Amino acid sequence: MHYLTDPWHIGFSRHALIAGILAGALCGLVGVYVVLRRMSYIGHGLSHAIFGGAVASYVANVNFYLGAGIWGFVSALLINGVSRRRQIGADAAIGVVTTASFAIGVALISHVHHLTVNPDAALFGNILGVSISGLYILLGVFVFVGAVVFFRYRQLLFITFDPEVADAYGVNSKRYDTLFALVMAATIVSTLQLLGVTLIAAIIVVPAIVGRLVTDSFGKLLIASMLIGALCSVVGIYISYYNDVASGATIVLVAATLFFVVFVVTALTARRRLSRLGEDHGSADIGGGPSVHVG
Amino acid sequence: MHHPIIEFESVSYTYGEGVVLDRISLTIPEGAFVGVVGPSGAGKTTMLKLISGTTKPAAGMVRIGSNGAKVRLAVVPQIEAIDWNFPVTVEEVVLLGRAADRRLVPWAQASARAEAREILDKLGIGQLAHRHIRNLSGGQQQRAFIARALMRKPELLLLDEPTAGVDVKTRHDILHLLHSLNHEGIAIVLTTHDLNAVAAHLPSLVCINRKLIAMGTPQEVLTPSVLSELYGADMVVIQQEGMLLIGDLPSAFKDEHARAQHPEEVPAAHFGEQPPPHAHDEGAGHTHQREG
Repeated sequence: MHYLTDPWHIGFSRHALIAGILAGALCGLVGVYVVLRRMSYIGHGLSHAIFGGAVASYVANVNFYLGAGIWGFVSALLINGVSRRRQIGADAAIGVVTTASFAIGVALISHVHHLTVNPDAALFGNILGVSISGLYILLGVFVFVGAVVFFRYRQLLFITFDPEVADAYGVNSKRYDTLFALVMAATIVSTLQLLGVTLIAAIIVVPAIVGRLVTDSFGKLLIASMLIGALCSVVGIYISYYNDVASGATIVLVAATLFFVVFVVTALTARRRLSRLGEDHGSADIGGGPSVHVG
Repeated sequence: MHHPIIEFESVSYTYGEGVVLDRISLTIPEGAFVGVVGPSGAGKTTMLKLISGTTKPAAGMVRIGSNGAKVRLAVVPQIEAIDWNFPVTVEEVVLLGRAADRRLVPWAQASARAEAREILDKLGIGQLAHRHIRNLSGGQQQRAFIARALMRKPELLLLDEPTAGVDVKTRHDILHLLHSLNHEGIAIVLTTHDLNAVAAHLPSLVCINRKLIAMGTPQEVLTPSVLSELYGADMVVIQQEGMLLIGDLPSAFKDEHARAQHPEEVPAAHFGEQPPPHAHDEGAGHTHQREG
C-alpha cells in the first residue's frame, strides 16, 4: 500500500502527480478534437513551433508563458489560414509553419552564444521539476479549456463533425477555429515543460484513439479520453518514480502499451462476435439443398 | 404572387483561373421545389454554397429572402462528404440542428429531444435514434440529415445530391418525403444527376453548365437540344403516359435511332461498318411521343 502513498508524501513527486493528472486529462480532452479533425500531427508540430517561441521569449527576456503562448496561438492561426487554401492540406500546412518556427528556435540557440538554458528540458520534459507557478498555470488552462468545451460543446461538435455546413446552421466556423487554436496553444504551452516537445503529441493523440476504440458516443469519448490521459500520466509517474526512468518517456510508453492492449482486445472481441454471428445465421437451407456456412 | 426567396444577379464564381459559374441570373420564388441539374463540375454544389452563404461570389449579387427579411435555411450535405465513423448517434446528429441556440449547457433541453424524436418518427427512423450513424442504410442516413435540417425549422432547404447512391425505392421515398415537406411550405433546392427522377418528381428545373442553360418545368427544359447543350452528348427524350424518360444514346444505336425517325434518309449501318457521315448531322437526340 505504501507503494501507492509514498510519492504523495514528497513535495516534488506530489506536485508531479497533480501536474500529471491535470496535463493528462487536459491533453486527453483536447486530443479528441485533434484526432477527429484528422489533425493528429498538430500536437507534434505545434509543440515544435512553440519551442521556437520559447527560445525567442528567452532571448527577448519576455515571460515564457506569454511569449510562447502568443507564438503558439499565431502558429495555430497560420496553420488554419494556410490549410483553408484548398491546394494545401492541413498536414502540409502544419509541416511548413511548425518546422519553420522550430528552425527559428534552433537558429537562435546557435546564434545567441550567451544562452544558458538547457534545451533538453523543453525537448524531453521534466514533470518532476514542475514549479508551483507552473502548476497554477496548468490548473488555469485546464479550467479554461474545460469551460470552453462545456459551454461550447455543441458548436465544437458541429465544426468537428461537419465543418462544411456549420455556417449555414448559424455556427461561425472561423470563430470556433480561432477559439480552438487558442485552446491548442494554451494546452501545449502549459504542458510543454512537463512532457517535452518530442513526446507531447503522443499524450494528445493516444488517449483519444484508445477511447475511440471503446465507445461510439462523442460525450463518452471526451470523458474516457480525459480519464485515460490522467491514468497514463499517473501510472507513468509511479513507474518513473520507482525505476528512475525519464518521466515523459514513461508516460508515453504507458499510453502506447495501453493502446496496443486495447487494440488487440477490441479486435479479438469483434472477431469473436462476428464468428458467433456466423454460427447463428450462417447456415441456410434452400429448397432442401446443401447448407451454406459463413465464417 | 410569390416573393422571390433566391435571386442571382449576374453571379460569377471563380476558382483559381477557372470559371466555375459565369454570370448566372435567376429567381426562385418562395415555396418552390427546384432541381439543379448539369454534368459533373458544372457548378451545382457551388451554387448551393452561394445560396447558403458559405461561399461568396466573385462578382454579382446573391440575395436570399425578400425585403431584407432573413431566411432560415438548412443544408443537407452529400452523404459522401460525411465521416461515417465519427462517434455520434442519429439523435446527436439531429440535435445539432439546434447547435446555434443560445444554450450554455451541453445537453439538449427535454423539449428539443422530444421534437427530435417527433421529426425522426415522422421520417420513419424514430426507432434508430440511439444507433450509431455508421449502422444505417443510405436512405436512413439521408433521412437523419434531413431530420437535422428540419430541427432548424427551415424556410429554405438545400440538398446536395440527396438521391446519389441509393436504390430506386429509396430514391422514390426521399423525393416523396421532400414533396410533402414542400407542401408544408418549405422551399427546396436540390442538386442531382438523376434526370429521370427530377423529370418525374420535380416541378421546376435549373440546367447549368457553368452558365445557365435553361430554366422551367421538366417538359420545357428536358428537350434533346437543351440536354445536348448541357451535357455535350446526344440524348433521347421519350414521353410515355405523360412521363418524360431520358436516356443517353450510345453511338452504336445512334444510326438505328436516326433511321427509325427518318428511314428514307439514313441507310442501315451494321456493326463493323463506317457509318455514313450525315448520320451524325442530326446531333442532338429526338423527342418521341408514345401512346400509353
